Amino acid sequence: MLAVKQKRIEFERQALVHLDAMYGAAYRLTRNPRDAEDLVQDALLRAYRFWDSFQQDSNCKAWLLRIVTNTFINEYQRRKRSREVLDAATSEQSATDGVLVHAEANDKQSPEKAMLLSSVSDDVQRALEQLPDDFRTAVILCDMQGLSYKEIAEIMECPVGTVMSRLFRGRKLLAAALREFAVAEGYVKKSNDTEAKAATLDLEKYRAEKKAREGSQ
Amino acid sequence: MSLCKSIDTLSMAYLDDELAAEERHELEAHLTECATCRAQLEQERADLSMVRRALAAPPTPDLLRARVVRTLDQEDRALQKAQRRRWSQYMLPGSAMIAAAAAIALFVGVQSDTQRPSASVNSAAKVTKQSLPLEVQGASTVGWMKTNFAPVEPPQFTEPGAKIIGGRLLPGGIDGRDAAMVAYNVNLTGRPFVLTVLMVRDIKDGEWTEGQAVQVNDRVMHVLRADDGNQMVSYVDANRMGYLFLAPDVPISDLVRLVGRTDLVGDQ
Repeated sequence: MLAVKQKRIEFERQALVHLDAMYGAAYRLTRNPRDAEDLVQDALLRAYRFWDSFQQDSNCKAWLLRIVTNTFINEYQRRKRSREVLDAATSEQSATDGVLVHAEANDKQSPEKAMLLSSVSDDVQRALEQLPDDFRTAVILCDMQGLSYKEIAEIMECPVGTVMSRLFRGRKLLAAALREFAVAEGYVKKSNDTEAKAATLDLEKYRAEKKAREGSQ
Repeated sequence: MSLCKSIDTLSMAYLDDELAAEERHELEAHLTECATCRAQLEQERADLSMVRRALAAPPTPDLLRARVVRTLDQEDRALQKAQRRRWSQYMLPGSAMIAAAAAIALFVGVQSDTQRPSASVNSAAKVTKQSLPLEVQGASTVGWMKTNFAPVEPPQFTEPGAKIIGGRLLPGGIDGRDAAMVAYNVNLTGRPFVLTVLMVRDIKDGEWTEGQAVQVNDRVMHVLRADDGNQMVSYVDANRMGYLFLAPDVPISDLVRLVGRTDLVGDQ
């Protein structure tokens, strides 16, 4: 019994203090307050069950955000997959009926989309909506949660250079979308200058090149 | 000046405080003499501060705090209940072997014969009886599974004597959920046999726990019995990936020990 109490005390002291960070990340990842609450609850329960595997000397916030991100990705991928199957079935049905439904019109009618539009009045949420998943995740982990490139690379299981490119392009797209929202409240048209150039950013590469240059001098 | 070429990388790392002191000083020196790079850095600083301001989330609802505390309370109660039931705990036979594998298995739950297995357990038992062709064989199996099925690797043994034969995805999955199968050739005791591991995504709460709870190191697994009488060991990880171990040719206690020798229960 004592072990259970001890575990709870440790967990509250080290993990539960990051509840705000977890909720913030979940809120921006799911772009929906209700889903965000479910995601946090789900992730915290997992974290509690696997508390033994948390390495005490590592960054608890990063560990928790990893669980939030993974839980979100798994859930989201499952929903996305079932939606794709549904979409495929719908388009097939439409084709055989001799009615060609434009993919975008289809998208607008989906209940999920309708719910999202009605429940989210926030420009930021809509701007985030336009970002590719990987860009959004990188921006949330860095600019909202203050994790380092290395911590984000571990969470997203990719090289630091990839994190930097995602961050760079994600920020550019987000900044452009935010600006557009500010100008035309409620409606956004994708203009050419929102396209961030396909940057390749890599601090490691820069350092290696610099070293090589210095070596040859 | 050569820094202009890398200004995207440098200004971003600078604003994110990821540069080493020397790199920072170099960049700052460069900025005093290059107006183009200075303008770019200032533009990025403005964008960044806009993005950061915009991302601030609303405060955590008090109701969520209450919900979280309630969930943890429930979890504590369930755990304490399981501990009280440990009168039935005993070590499995062959303790020398267990010690060698550094895995200690304890039965912590009471077998409930009335509890029926989930439909997915029966589907899984059925699938392993079909002789489906392997899609990949040998050493490349692990990489193939990571690419085609899940970012997690299939379980591997912490000692020699068990080799992956191959694997495949299961058409249609198990009850609509993505699933894959990996087969191993196991020879730890001089008596070779085939172990099959089914990996199924999105296992629900309470699913695959209808049977006897077994503690292997710090993980809780379950011994399940399908309707066809086949016994198997189940484990569900933090990401709801379910692992089902089947080896019809060996006693269930040996199967539990075997699971204790995979990296699933080893050090993280």
